[in-house]
Amino acid sequence: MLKGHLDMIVLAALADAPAHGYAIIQEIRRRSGGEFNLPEGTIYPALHRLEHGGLLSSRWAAADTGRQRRVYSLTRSGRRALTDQRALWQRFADAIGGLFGETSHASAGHRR
Amino acid sequence: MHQPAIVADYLDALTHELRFDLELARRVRSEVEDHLLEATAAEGTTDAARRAIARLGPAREIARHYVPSSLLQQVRHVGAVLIVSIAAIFVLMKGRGALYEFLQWRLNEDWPQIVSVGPTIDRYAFQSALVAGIVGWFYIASLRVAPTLHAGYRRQIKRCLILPLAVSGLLMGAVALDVILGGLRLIEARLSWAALIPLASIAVEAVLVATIAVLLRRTNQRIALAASLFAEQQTG
Repeated sequence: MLKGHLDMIVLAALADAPAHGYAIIQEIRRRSGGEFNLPEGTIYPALHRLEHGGLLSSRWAAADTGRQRRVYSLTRSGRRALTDQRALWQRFADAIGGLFGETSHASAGHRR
Repeated sequence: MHQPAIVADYLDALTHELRFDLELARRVRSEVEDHLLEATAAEGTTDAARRAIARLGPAREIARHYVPSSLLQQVRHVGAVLIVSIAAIFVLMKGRGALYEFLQWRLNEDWPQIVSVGPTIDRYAFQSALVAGIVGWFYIASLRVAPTLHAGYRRQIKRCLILPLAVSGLLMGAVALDVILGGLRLIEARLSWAALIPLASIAVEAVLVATIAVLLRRTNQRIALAASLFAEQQTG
């Protein structure tokens, strides 16, 4: 299930601030409470794909250790895509919530 | 900082799997190296490196994920070079035509068949290349990168190369005719310093067509190398 939403997850992890690959993985793990334990090797190709899709931009920046690392940030299109995805996800979650609510209601009624 | 041998081996394997796109291979190697340094910063042991590598997954699997975007980037590059080349050749052809008019350099009448049909074939070859180039460009621009290299996406990428291939063939024909027709005019006009201008412009056209041909060959090689990453999946 996560595979189909990888792009949205990566965009969401970058919503607050630019970050490099490892920090993005840590952020996904932290914000999902450890639930999203993605294969880390899939994050870098996703970042590359999103960058080529114009949703992310990247640049080389020096880390504290002096090493050069690639830092990614959301572009305007990326921010817009994230807002759209968030709204879509919210509608989906509401619909599923309603469905489960109805189902549990109906089955409770049935039992009575 | 000392790097465990297992990390160096993994990075070498990753670079090898990404050999279909050398620039990408350098970039990914650097990013993954940084990732592994971060992941093992606290412990710095071989065991920690082994765990970090296991979390990243097999090098070939990572490389496979990069294939769709790398191939699309390459065909977009081909498309851009194609459009720029067609525009440049158009300008050079028009400029040469204006120069011939200005200097009153006519085609040598000793070869009436070439004189009668040559310029027409040349014009149609270029116009066909122009139309095919524009269609190809719009097709390439309409493609969106797929998350995986599925059969449909592979077909789209191959289609992206067919039109540039046709364009380069037509442009080669047009440039070859330019060489013949230009030669006939120069025979008539006698060699002079002014003759260097059309000769140089034809040489530039030839270089542009050769560049497209080389680029198409490289793209084909890249597709073949990238496809080899999926060979065992298809046979298995």
